[in-house]
Amino acid sequence: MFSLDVPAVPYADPWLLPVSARLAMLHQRRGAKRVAYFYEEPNNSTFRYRAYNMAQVLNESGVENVSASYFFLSDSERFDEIADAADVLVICRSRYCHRINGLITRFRSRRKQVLFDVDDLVFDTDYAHLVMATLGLDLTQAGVWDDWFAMIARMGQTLRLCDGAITTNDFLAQKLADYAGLPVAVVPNFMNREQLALAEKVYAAKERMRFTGDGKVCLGYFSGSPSHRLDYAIVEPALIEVMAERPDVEVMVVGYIDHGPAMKKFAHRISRQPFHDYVNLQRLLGTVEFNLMPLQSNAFTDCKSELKYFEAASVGTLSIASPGFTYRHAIRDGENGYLAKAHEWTEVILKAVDRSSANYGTMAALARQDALAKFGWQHQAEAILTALQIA
Amino acid sequence: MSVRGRRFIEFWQENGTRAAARLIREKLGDAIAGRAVFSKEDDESNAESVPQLRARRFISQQALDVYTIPRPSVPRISLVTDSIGSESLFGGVGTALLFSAQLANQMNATLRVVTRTEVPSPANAWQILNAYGIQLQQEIQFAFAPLKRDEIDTPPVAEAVPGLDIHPEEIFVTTSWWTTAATLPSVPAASIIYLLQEDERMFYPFGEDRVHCERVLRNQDIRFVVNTRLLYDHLMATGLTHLGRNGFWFEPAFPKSLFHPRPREANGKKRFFFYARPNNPRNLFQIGLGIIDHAVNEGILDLEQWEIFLVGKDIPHVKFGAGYTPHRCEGLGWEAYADLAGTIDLGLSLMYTPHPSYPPFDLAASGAVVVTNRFTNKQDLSGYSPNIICAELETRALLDALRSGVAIANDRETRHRNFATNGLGTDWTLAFADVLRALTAGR
Repeated sequence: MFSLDVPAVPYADPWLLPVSARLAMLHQRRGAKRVAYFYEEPNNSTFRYRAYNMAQVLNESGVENVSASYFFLSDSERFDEIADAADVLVICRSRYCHRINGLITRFRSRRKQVLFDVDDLVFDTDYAHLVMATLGLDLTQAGVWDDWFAMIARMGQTLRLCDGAITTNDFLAQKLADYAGLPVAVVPNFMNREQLALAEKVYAAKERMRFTGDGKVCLGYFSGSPSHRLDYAIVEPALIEVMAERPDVEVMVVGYIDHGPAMKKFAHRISRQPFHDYVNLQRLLGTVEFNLMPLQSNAFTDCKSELKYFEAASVGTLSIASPGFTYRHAIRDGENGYLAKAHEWTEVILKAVDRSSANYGTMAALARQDALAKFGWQHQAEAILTALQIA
Repeated sequence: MSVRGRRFIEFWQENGTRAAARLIREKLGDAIAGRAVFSKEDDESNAESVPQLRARRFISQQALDVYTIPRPSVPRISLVTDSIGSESLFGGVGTALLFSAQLANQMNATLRVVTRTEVPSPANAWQILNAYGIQLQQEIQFAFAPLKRDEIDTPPVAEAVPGLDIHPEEIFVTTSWWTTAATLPSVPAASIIYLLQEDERMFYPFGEDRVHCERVLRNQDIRFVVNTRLLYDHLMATGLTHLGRNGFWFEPAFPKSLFHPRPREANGKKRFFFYARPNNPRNLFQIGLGIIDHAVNEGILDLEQWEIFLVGKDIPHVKFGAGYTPHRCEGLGWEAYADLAGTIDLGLSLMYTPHPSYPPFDLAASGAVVVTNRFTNKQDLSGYSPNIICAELETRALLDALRSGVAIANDRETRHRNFATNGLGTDWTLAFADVLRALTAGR
């Protein structure tokens, strides 16, 4: 584990601005194309990646002829104003309702472009059962079926009202095209300015210590939510074998994952961390040697973005991942991380741990370089403008 | 302790305190709500329907609970088996995994291992594939489709298992008549490839299990892949003539990297191997013990020169002759088993079915001499290896065969010459090549 001399930073959600300020953002450049992102209500995950980060790039990366802002359902009284001001509307992963239909209708009646942005396979009810099963939901509850089918169908309905779609990877793009018959563009998820600022400090601290930890090797599982229980189950038997074989290996679990009974004997080598805000999470990620990213293999998980890989890479932490569609394209096994099929986790973790003293720094540098080049906010303007069809 | 109490403790040990506490809470909730807490089998008011009764009697045939998903871009092969636990991996299940992996590679498909009695262990699958040097082109998936045995095995969490996602055009490799029976109601019969490694009808006395088994074997729509030409010929000769149309056979392989003679202590005793599985009637455990005892008493196996290894499962403590205690080897991993086989000079391995079974092949491939029994068309296995001696299932015939076996084991030159002319395959890729080509032709 790396003991970092980087203090936690005070954090407040930077997107919590009054609607007047967000409308002003839209108007900040005279004569510019104006892009309005819409999400039901702000949050730390999809909204941050697909609306807040996009607006940040358009407003701050030196593109002179575009300005952008973001809006929510709570802004519905200002929808006419937004439709008058903006040239393009991007509806991010929102469930159909009368207000969203109204917003889209306003844009279309003004002959303005409306796009749908989605980062998960949650618009086609043919996949609803698979999604629910993958998330390990309690399928004995009728309400669970109602909720998920309704949610997914409502997403699909919003998508069908749009002129095109934007998503996070080619696999999901194909699913969108198959479902809606619309043109689809890809803009990956990426790290924003705040995230990268702290990542830079964390990486510099690790470089100063020449990637030398405290003599223990820490494997981190950053779960995000309890819905990753079945993903974690893929790696837990390997963790048990590795911990039994290597007394210097420790595990850090972040989030709400319950261990199986066989992990109890290693309780003194397992640490737990609560959820962190996304900026300080970078600091925590930087303390572990390896970031474990097991995923069940199916169409739903093939739609996941690279975010767990690049967030770890940006702070010089190596990832070990299931070779689903996204990770096998992001990770070059043995160069900037490791890939482990479901039956290979023990072998791959041991290999990674054994090699770590020899080449950790080199691999970490490669991973960070790759992550910044592909998933840093500074390099996304072109992809975003192309997707918005205003390049 | 009551049966229920014991089952509860087993449940607790297997699932942990949290799950046990949840179960207790649910039972308490049932009691408070006035619902039945435990089923009372002798209570007429709880009489079961015929389908319920049947389901409980034939648990292993419980249909796979499935749901359909859209066809993925990469096809999938699902291997359905009871377990890939360490104790299940020898022989048939290992072969099924190798076959399915190669079929998956041939079709550039994902392989999914579906187990029914035990949560699948990815590490065990890796052990087999790694031992035989098989690299999967696509990801491997694992799924547990548990059999619902009774209330203690089926707490609400297990009921919440979403079932098995399947898609049109998915191929299912089944590994026994009961996994085939469990798969048949859930998928198109034509999508099933039944890997048949024994005349499974012989597992049963004439009764309902046998009837069910026979019905599956007579299914005209599924495809059969039979382990050995011998077994295929036997099945055809005993009424399963449709295998001539929808059946294929292969000969198993014994890679030299795993099966080869190991260096031995120069002046150590010779080693005798007995395949000891008292709970598998077809392995004729008691008959085998009797033969060994005779051989020791008659001096065919001179204990001054031989040490005896019983290799198998659930082996009781036993002594031979005037009190000799053999080595008992249970729960060996693949490498350890092959290491042991590579040190054996002579083996006795009985199989009261047409299939030669694997231990005689394992031993012959490792340089040993081995005695096994004849059965129907299994009369002569010298084509596989001249070091395999087939004898009638008579005490005297088996003892004579052991005497011949001892002579060959002691005759270094003959034994090595025989070993050099082994006809056993050594490459699983070659072993399956024709079958895989036939199965995937026209796809």
